[in-house]
Amino acid sequence: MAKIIDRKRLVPNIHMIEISAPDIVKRCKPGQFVILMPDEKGERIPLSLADWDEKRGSITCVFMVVGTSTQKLSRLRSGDDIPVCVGPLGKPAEISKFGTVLCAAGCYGIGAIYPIARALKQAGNTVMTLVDAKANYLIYWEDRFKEISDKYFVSSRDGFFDCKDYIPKVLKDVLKDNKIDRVISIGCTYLMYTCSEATRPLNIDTYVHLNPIMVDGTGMCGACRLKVGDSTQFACVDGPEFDGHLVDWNELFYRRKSYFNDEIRSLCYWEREEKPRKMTKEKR
Amino acid sequence: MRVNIDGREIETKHKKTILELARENDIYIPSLCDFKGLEPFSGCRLCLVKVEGMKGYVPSCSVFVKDGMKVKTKTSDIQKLRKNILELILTEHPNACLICEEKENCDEHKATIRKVDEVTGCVLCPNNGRCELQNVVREVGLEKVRFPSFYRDIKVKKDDPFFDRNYNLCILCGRCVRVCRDIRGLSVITFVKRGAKTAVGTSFGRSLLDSGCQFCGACVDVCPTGALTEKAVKYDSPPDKKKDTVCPLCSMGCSLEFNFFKDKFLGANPAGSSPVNSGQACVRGRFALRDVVRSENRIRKPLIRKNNQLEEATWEEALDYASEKIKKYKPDEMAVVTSPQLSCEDIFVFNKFAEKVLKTKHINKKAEGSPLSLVSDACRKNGISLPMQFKLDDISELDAVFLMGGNLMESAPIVWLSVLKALDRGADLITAGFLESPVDRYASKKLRVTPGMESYLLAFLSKCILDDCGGKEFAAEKGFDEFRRSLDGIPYKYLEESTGISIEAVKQTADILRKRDKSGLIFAPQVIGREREEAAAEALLNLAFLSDSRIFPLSVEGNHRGWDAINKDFSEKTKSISEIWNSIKKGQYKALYTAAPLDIPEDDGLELLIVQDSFTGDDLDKADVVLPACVLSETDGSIVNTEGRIQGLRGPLDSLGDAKPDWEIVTKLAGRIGSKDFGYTTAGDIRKEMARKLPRFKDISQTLPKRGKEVFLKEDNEYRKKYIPLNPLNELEKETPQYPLRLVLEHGFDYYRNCLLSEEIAEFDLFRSKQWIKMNKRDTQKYELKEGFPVTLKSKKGQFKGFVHISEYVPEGIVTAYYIPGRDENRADLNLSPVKITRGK
Repeated sequence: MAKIIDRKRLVPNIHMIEISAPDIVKRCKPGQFVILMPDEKGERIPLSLADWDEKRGSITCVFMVVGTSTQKLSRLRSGDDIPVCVGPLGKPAEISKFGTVLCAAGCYGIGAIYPIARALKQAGNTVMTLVDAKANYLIYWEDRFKEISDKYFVSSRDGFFDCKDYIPKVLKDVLKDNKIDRVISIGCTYLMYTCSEATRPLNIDTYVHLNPIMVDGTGMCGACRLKVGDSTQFACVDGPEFDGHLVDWNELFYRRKSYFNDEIRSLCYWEREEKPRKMTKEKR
Repeated sequence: MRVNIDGREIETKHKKTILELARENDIYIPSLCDFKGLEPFSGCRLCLVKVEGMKGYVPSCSVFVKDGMKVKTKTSDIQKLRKNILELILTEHPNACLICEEKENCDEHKATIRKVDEVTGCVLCPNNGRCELQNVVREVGLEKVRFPSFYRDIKVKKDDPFFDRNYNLCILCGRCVRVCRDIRGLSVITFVKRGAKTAVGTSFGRSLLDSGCQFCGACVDVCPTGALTEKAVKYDSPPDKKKDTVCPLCSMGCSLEFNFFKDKFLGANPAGSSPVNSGQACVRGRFALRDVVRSENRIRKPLIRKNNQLEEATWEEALDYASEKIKKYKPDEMAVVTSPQLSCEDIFVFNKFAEKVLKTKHINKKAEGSPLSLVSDACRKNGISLPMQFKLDDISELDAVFLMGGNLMESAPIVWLSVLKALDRGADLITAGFLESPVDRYASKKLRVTPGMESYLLAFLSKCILDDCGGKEFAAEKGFDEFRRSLDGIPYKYLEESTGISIEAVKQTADILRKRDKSGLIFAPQVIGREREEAAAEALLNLAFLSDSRIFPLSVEGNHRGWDAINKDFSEKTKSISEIWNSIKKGQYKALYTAAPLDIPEDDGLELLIVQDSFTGDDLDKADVVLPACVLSETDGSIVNTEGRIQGLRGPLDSLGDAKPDWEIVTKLAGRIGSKDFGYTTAGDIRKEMARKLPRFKDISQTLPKRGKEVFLKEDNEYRKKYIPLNPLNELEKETPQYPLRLVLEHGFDYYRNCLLSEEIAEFDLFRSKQWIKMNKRDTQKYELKEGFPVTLKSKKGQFKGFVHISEYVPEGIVTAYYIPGRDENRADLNLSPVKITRGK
């Protein structure tokens, strides 16, 4: 059992959850993840660590509500217990002095990339941040990033920013205007893919933190397998950080849809059966 | 008249708006608030056009064309204006995906994140691909929104059944508000707040469940965006195929379109072009049917009882078994129960089977609480003949509507829409019944009658009419003198006391009925016991003659009129399902073949029980053989709606498992029992025979009527009046301190064969539960009860259980519960009797 210290919605669909996990805090490093279960029956959800606090003995994750289990997770409140919180899992992100590093993120990835950007800054790099959001009201932690970034860019289709392009176009502009040694990208698979494709012709090292379907998170089940270069790798134990230019993206896109119909069935069942029955029961 | 649009000369005869005329001639004018069937609103301002001689720009949706009018729809300043307006609309609607070049790639690669909680872009929106906003943006050619986008951040409302409401996507076109108010007569949702904060909502922000929503889904169907989305299909792709059919769940016979994606059945929508429901439906057809026909509780294989357990068998085995057993019994030892939820073909074959093969007279032919059966029986008994069929349009043309019986929104939602049209034209509505109902707010007179005394109220009205006009004009008519004498024998004071209605109210009502040109008496289903129902039907006929009103007796189940018409042509000897049930209880039968939901009594003495149903139910516990039947949506049979309109079902779905249409099962059984093989191979063969043998079905043919072609049951055109003397009623048992409340049963409509909608669908249970015991809030306080408490109702005759539901429509001192004939016969005895209510399961 782990206790929820805080859970709040940052922006539409994106929630932040702070969990008391003193043992995990002692060991976690940027780029690693934990696995949570919102209740005994739900799925195991792998979530990147977005922050941690040694004094409070707590870890923080940022997640997107995108299915039954994350729906359940988003309904938890401070003081609630969750049955499973394991970690830290996966290899930490590579942190050293690269020179100038661009962190390009969107969606839940804005939270997930934060500890990496912070560590890179501490390691003496010049850190630039590029955040993608459909609209101004979807951007969060702007102040945190501005504090650790030398430059902060936004790509959006919102008239608010006077910019109407998706991240790769803005990324190319940034790369043109600045000498960048390394790009790190976290966000939805399509965002990471487009960022990798944008840097490929320029031969800039690009690392992505992948999010395949995962079950146990310790290399046993192989659900998170993906092709990187010539070899098959497991995102849980070999990653989640991989060279974006070597990833077999088509396979990853394909595998992510494996359980799409079942995921929908599960969500519909929860919304149309479990929830109403619970409401009826509460009345009676 | 001639109108010039964009240089094109267009000829038109009828009065129509510029927008309508342009659409008819394939001239595109964008619009988001206009919707067929709704009054012009001019809310979105996208349909602005330039009309020569008119100042500025005019909304084409609300300006009617005139002869010689010159309209320009596509000048550069109009295009620019539209883009500006659209940009402003989009500042409050997630617009990123609408203008993003990556949209198609995202649709492909981000498909899995469609399951998000809140919609912040088209790729996440349930309406993606069917959104009118997307079409308009494309047509107007908008590429950029220059203004900052604003998120209203209104919590998505997901706790109501059937659909979600996300007002962050709402563009305030007002279609939902208008359809709810103008077409459905409910006004559950309306514009709330003012200025920049204007939104659509319920009063005090309550849930739809608490706001009186009937969940007809009309608002969902008109919403141009993803603001209102059906839960069951919101994550599915838009349909790639549609099939026409008719809803079998009630007597309205709404035309529906079944939607499919890659052959997966998604659900049903009301068909826009239908003469019956013209784009409207109700909760049953719109939301429940989908789950009913594909229920987990469908019976997929024939079952035979072996070693006291039902085991799967082949059709051959099951039919052999059943036929061998049937052969052992004499005709009078066997009974057949059919259901008005079967198709005409099924009912015909069932009747033929009972008559020719089993040679039994024990088959149910009367329906409980059905106005249609009651009025037609009363007519036959007394030699009366008058038109019993009608068109819904006849109701919308009435000047005065006298509505007797239960809540029309629940029992006959589409009839209610016709009444509403009449009210729009200035008609008066009078409601008479023991319950309040949501339609009462439109009533110019509400007559709250003591339960069970309906026939006295109608006699009261007749008496007032007669005393007012002297009655000379009727004196020569058949039966009048006797009728008059029976009325004269009852003093007004007694009528006032027994009905609980003052003479002034009754006189005013009588005045309205008599003086209005076209008055109509709608007789809606209610359950007040056989005798009282018959008396009410007779009294209604008298009133109709005196006030020169037309009678609209409604039918109850999906194919009630068809069932009634076929039954009558077979034999006059009629039994109701309750009578058969009582005979079973007395142990009169040794074998029973049922195709209707039946609560088999304990110690029934039955040696053989054959259950033919689509769903598993309690009657399976005692069944010896179970024969899986198709639901009507899987057959190509025909059903007759409340108007008398014969409609084809057209089997949009494939049959599930080994289920077969009912007529086919009966035919096969008949072939095994005697030499009487009916020789049908398709439903068309049966229709051919029906057209030949049943005079009322003369107009049907082997192929089903196409939509648009109207085929009705044949009806006697003769008009024969006869007054029926008033039958005195038995006194009702009085309430006592020990039994302080009066129980009144309400007809339950939410079932299809053995499937109870509220048990099958969890969301339906929230909306309307079969287990509800409805009572007034003051009574709940008096007996220290709360919403949802499990309770037992006890009378001297028996008891049953349920859950408290507080209803503003139930008067103090009364409790109501649902009753489904055949299924709830245990409750029937308790009807109208004093009861006490106790807490506990």
